[in-house]
Amino acid sequence: MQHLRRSVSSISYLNRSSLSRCTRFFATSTELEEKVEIPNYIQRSPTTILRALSQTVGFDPTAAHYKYHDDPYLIPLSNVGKRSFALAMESGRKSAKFIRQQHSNLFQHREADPPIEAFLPTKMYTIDSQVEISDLTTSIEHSHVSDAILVYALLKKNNVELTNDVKQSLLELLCFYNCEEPLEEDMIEERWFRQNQRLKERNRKTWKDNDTAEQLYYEIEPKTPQTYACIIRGMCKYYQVEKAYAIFQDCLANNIKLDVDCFNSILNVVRFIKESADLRWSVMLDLLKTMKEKGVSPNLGTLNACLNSISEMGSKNAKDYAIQIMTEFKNIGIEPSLASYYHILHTFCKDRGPVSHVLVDILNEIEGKEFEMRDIKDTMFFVTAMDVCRNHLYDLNLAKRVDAFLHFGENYNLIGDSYKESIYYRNYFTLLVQAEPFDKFMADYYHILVPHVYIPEPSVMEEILKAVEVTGAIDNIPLLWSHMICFEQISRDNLLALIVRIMLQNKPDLTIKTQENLKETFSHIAWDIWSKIEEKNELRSKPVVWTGKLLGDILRIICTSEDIDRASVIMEKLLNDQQKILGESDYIAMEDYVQLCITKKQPSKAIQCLQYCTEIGFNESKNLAKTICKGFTLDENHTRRVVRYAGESVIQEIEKEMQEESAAKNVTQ
Amino acid sequence: MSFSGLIKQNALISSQLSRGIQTSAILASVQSGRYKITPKRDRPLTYEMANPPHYIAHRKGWNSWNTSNLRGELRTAQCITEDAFIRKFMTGTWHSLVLSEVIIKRQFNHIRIAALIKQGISSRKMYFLIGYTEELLSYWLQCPVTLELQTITDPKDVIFKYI
Amino acid sequence: MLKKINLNSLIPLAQRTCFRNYSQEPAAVETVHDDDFRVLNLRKTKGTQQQLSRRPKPPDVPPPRYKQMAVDQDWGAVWPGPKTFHPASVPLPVRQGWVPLNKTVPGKFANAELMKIPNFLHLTPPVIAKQCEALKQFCTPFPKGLETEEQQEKHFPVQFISSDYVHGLPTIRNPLSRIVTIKLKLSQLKLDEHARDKFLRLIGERYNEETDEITIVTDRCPLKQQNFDYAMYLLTALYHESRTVEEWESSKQEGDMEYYNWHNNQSKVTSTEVLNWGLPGDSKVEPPQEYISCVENLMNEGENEYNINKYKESVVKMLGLA
Repeated sequence: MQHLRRSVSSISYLNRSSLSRCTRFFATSTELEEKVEIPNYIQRSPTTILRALSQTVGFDPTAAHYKYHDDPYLIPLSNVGKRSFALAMESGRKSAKFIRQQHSNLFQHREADPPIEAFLPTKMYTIDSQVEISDLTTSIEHSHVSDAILVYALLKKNNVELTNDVKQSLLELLCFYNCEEPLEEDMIEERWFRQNQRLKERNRKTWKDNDTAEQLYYEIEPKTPQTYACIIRGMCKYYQVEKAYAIFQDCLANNIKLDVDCFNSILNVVRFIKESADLRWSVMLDLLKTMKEKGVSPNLGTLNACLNSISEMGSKNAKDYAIQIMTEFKNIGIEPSLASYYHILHTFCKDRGPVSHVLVDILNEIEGKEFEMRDIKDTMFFVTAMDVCRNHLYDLNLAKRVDAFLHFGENYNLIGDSYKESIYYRNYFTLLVQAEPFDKFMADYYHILVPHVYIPEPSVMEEILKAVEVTGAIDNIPLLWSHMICFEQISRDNLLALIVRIMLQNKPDLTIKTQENLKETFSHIAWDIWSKIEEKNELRSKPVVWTGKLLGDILRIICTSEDIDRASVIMEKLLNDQQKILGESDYIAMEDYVQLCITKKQPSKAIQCLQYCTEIGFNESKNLAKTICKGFTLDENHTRRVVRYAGESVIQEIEKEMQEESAAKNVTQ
Repeated sequence: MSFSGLIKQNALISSQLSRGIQTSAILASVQSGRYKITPKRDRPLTYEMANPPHYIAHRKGWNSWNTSNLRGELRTAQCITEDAFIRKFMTGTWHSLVLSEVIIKRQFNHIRIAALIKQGISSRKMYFLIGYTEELLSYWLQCPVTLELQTITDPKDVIFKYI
Repeated sequence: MLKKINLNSLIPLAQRTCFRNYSQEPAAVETVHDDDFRVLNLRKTKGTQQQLSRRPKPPDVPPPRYKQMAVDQDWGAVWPGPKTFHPASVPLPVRQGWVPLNKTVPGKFANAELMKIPNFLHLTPPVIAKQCEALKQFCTPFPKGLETEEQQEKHFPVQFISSDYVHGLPTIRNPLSRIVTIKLKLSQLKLDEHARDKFLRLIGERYNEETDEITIVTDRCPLKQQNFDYAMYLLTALYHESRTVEEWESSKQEGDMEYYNWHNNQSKVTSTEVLNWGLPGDSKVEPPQEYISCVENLMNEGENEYNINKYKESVVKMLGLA
């Protein structure tokens, strides 16, 4: 589907309200007294005006990404949501496409003039269909690999003669895609959210041996340099290095002219050819010398391939080699792309190596320039740069420079996919939280980027909460809690414990305006934690296990707002579900609860608390019993129960204390 | 006077006093777009339903915005049939979720479909339907199609009055 | 009466919270008999049976995003293109609908009327100014020396007029777009008398005498370019044809003349006869030029008061009657 944001050529952009008249004048005679100079028409492509207008559109922090529907119900607020919404939409598109293909006889009407190919059903080939060479060429043009293979097989079955050109283009298609159907261009969300399985397969050979590509290769007679180049590059791309290197050596021996891309692909896989670092380096040097002998001039791909191999070489002199290569290529006049800088960072800023400030030099060179995709690994630069800033260098200013560079011009296109974007922001955020003053962090970064551009992972959230704890900026707690709910992070024990601890330790200052309602809010939050987890536990098969400490802290917070009903619910949970609760609550919680009961005059509840204390086995339960007795006027039932839990001696001790007190009073009087 | 004479006379009088067929009661009544009052007065009407068609351009807007009805324009009839198709398609795909009339706006060859939708299915399913509807309609109509929906929590919000 | 969407906010924060809705009643717990000593049971206790028929609670909807919008935000970033009105994204408290007396006008939520109306929220004046600035790079200055109409006519005498049509439809074709009109002032063409006469006869009614303009409209070809070529061809052909003199043109008779030439007509004969009547045969008195021009004017321009008076005067003068 040519969606508005992707297809502009299908829309004509002059609004029709009435007849639009355009007049043009010509010069007829050349004898003119004054020469009239007409300035030249400024050339523009079909989309330049649109691009110019789109430059005027700024950034809206309250809106989600434009691919999401702008409705409160449909705006994603968690990473899961973002991913599932975008992919659900794309699967809807796929199903529509499927229906169109299934019922292609219904979609034969041609309304659009000129016809828009993207809306029309594509031709499907089956084993029985009658095919011609033109079908094969169109399939190759549109990169339909499985269609091309099928048509080729059919043509072979019917003994149709194919020219070498057609065979060559088919071979190129098959080598590029490794005889697999590629993901369609339309499916941008799937491409964006693909969790980079290629990384895992990076070092594995995936080339399909003896499949259609190789068969076709052997069939093509005579073999042109393009054929050899094609098969070598395909095999290198999918890590079938032995065969590729063998064919490569043959070509060199037979003096067949290979082009620079062929050399580049071999350079890329040097580390599979030899095992030790020195041998790899010597192979690389040999290849480069061969290139020079054959008169093959290197290009950006050569630079990046060399740097790639150097970074993976495992040699001690890798850094020197890298610098050598960079200077040499600079002298030739080849501009390095972001991929080259990525490889350099990879070589220099190793985890377990010495600290290297090469990133500063890199930024000095590239800052303020607009880059475009020139190499497939360009997208790795920003993630690595931010990673280096955070882990290797711990430099906030450098990180800000990297961020400014990312947002310069069209550089944001090089962020890669969703995974890289999230890692980039994760590193950036942790660095900001740790290094930037907290208020500034919240105002300039958190409120703007969260939740639409970036959603903090639980680890980042933990850092933020720790910063809140350190700075005491508790008026952010309600916002952070509601964000935690949105981002579905409420089942994280450490986060819950942290937030509760913060609420306990920092009493809101009621004189400050922003903190007026905080006391109420805190107890709401505590109750929220309780109710949410209980709700979740009902629905889930794997319930979250409460800890006694957490429940106790929640109880304490609720007690501060003097809500006896809620507090007693928690108390009952503590009492009744002891086998499900991990650990025990703090004693202070019990004290607070009993004080609350005394204020609200609910002796039975206080005695329940005493029951819990004795069952747990607190040492101070006797003191608790005394507090209860002093605080309430207990009737028989209650006294009996107190005695049962706290022991006979309690009553006597209380009476003794009361006697001492009255004696003391008499003395003072 | 004879009986037949009386009849003749009556016929004469009645023909002078008779009304023409064009002003007879049956023809003068209109039924379209009007809802009958229920005895319990609990039939809910949206604002759209509550205003009969003669209030279009006075109290109601149009549901379908295109230029095909101007003088000298092409494809008028096809536009209307396409709109009918889109409305049926929307009601069928978003089954029992569309709470208002479907509003169709055409700008150049871009078709924008707006409607009020109930939050009856999960948002993920809604995204699936959005992608599916946009894609299929653009295949059928051969124009880019975008949906611009407003979701409503409570279906009672669209009710204007009870009749 | 329409209700607004409920905005229960359990966490009463100023701006940026989500709100959560949950039931207030705590779960009922059975009270344990106090006298019994509770037995420790480490086995998993069965919870209360879930009512599987209970529908899952509908998820909470966050508050509309206009509540988070700053008052001085960049509106062009929020509404960059034409879009149906959405109440959660527009911070204006608009109402729409006709209601009888003493009722409230329906608000913006769940209001289909507001969605129907084409809105111009994407073209506020600051946005238009920004867009104009961005488009200025594609504009070239108006050429010097072409400011006035006369200069334009002098340098570009031929006007070429055509129309382009766009539709709110899948097609861009319109059969009317092939029509091409060419306008030219006849005085711009260098034609002598004969050529001018021939030209005007050839083009017939396409000539406007008051403005001295030729208009050629072509639509017989299917494409605009073809029609334009045809029109230029017509112009060229006309010009060249009118310049050439054919053999049969010499057989032009007095009845074909488009204007009255005194010298070819009966009036010359009669007036010379009259003037020379009675005079000896040698001397020939010619009628004066004034008389000639008066007669010609009468015939060419038609009879009007001025001409008739002039004629009378000239005749009187000629015949010496004054």
